[in-house]
Amino acid sequence: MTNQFVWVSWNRHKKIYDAVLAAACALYLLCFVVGSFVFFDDRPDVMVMLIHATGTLAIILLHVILCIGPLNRLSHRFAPLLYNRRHLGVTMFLVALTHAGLVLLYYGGFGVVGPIHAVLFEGRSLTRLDAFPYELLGFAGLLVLFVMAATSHDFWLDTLSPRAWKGIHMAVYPAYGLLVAHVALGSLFDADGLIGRVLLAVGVAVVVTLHLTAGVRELICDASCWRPMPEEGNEKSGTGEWIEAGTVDDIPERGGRVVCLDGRERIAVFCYDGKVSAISNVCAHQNGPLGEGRIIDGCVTCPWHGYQYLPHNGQSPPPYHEKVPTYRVRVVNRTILLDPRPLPPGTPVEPAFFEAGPDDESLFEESGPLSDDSGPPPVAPHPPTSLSEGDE
Amino acid sequence: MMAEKPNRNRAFYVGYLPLPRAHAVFLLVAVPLSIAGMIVGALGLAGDQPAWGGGVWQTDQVNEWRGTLRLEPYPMLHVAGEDGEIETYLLVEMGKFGTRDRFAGADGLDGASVKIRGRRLHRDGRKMIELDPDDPKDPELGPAVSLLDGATPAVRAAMSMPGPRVTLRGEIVDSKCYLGAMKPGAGRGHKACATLCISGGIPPMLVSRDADGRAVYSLLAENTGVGLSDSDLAVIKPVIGEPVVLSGRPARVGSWRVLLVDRLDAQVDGASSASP
Amino acid sequence: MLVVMERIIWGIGVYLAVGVVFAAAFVAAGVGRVSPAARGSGWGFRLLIIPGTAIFWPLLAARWARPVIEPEESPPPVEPADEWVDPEKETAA
Repeated sequence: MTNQFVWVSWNRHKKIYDAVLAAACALYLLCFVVGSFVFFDDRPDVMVMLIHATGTLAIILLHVILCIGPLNRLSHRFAPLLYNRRHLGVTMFLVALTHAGLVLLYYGGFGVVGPIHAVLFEGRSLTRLDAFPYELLGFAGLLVLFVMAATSHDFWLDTLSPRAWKGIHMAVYPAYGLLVAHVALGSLFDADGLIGRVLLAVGVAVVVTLHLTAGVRELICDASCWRPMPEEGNEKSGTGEWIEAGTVDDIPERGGRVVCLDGRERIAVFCYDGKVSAISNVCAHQNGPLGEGRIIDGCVTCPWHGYQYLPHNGQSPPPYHEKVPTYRVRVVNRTILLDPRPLPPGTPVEPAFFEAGPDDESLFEESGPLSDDSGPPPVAPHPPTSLSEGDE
Repeated sequence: MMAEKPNRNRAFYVGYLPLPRAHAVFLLVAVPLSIAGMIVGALGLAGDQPAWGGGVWQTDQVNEWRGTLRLEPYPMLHVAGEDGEIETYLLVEMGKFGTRDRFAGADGLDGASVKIRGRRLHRDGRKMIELDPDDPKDPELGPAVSLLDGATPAVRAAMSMPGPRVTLRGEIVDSKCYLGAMKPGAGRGHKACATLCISGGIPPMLVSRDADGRAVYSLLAENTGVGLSDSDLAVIKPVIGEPVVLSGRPARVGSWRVLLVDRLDAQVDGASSASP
Repeated sequence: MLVVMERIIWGIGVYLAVGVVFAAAFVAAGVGRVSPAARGSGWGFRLLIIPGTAIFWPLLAARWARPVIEPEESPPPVEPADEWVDPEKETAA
């Protein structure tokens, strides 16, 4: 799918992202260690302190990761956090792995039985809460995170197919459930302190609320751009099976809008240079919403990771191979008509032409570098250096 | 039916293009705030940890003790203190192992005068020696324990007559971690480790509270004054690190208190049936 | 139940151990046959996919055993207008 795989294709944003992430993690661990010495009269056990520090850091990072998705649905201000979320996920897994490794070594090591048996099974019972193997919940959650971290590279997206990859990575939700239960039934179960309990409760509430809010907003948005599928042979207003998809005035120049079909995939409709094209709303990379993207350098650009497609054929410009389905369009009296049947990915479709109105000049004053090129060069100059490694 | 007019001037972020100003401004506020939140969270959660406990493990200091070795209820060394008081040290190995195996083969050790090398652990006046494994001088007894000649006077510390039956509510811990090998050496997080330690022969100890709330430490032993049998260890294993109620008769061995427990299988409610 | 879970964990361990052995060979020789975009890639990338290979090794082994897949040709350049599907002419897919 991509040109050639590299281990990490850094760019300036990713470097800053990772530097800030590493600094934040280091600062957290440092503050935790300092607090452990300052707030207690007795000297802390360094290993136990590190077990606590890494465990709390991992669950905090997991909450941040889970919030980024819905926050980005609610405001595009969060897009830079989404862009390199994969590195955040792998970092969280490594912190959690350190936590688990320290537990197995310190609590499970140096004894008559192996660490796995000692920590997860020895003297445990599923029927008594006091003896419940909460470590097993954490272990199961860690296994899920391992599968996700191990498949985070775009090689796996390519090898397993975006659909399967997305499915695997939706397992973050069961993992989250396991890990919240691990913390609630573990260190917080009979703890004296309140801070951990309050933070966990607030964290779960925030994650659930954000997901519900983003979901409801998505439903409302779908309803607002929803079009019924025309019935076979319905000659409504002489358009055959074509459906109305608003007017060209609804769509900003070199911007798009999403049309949601009855029980079908969403379609992204774009206006550019007096032309209208329609392609699938689903990015071939990670199913990002193309209709919320922009046309940059003549290409539809996904708002998630900047994957690009030519609007008239749904193909990524060379040397890339991604393709998305295209749709036939017509414009009648500035009303966009759309054939809802998708054409095979990458099928060229002639754009529909319309006369540019007074509103249709270049409109991205605020976005600086995007505002000055009004010509539509069909080849994107940017992606070749940046798409071959996992971006989310 | 029509969606509202799209916001035409919204900044659009692409990872490989320069950051739009609106995103930069937002990040300049949001990122420092998030990091400040993480610092506050780190300090708050650090302070929220359970108390470490006052155990001390002198890992950097190897000492020698001379005294009388007793093997029951658990291998221990009675040392005559300067003021005539007897100081009693439980003896354990490195790692999560007791010393029974070390002394099992040799006859005549019980009551013998010995010299012991090791590292001290102590908490609340309870003492323990982790035997030093690195002494090649006496391979038969193990490196850290050597017999003294017969002229050395024995420290007499027989077990006292047990008192009337008591019922204690507390937690069964492994004595080594609790005295300082691991902090905190009790509670839910330490359950796996305590179970492993006791399985390896570290003497099990009940930590309960007296009427004034002070900790009371009782080594668990059989009615006959010997250490817990394997079958009784199997009975307590599922409830180590949990709140339990145990009854038995208290006695003393040197400076240690021992609880001579009644039939454990009847006391530890459903433990064997609950064990996996 | 816990006994079963412990056996499952050991099973996962054995499965992953076999996977790691397979992964060593796969990243050295097989990955280029399975994915054209991985041909000629560096060791950083190859090391990075070892954990995933240890998980999905049966799938990758099956693909490795299949005949070599030639890389897809580059997508055709922008096509001339007369080859475009004309929405006015034919609407049947």
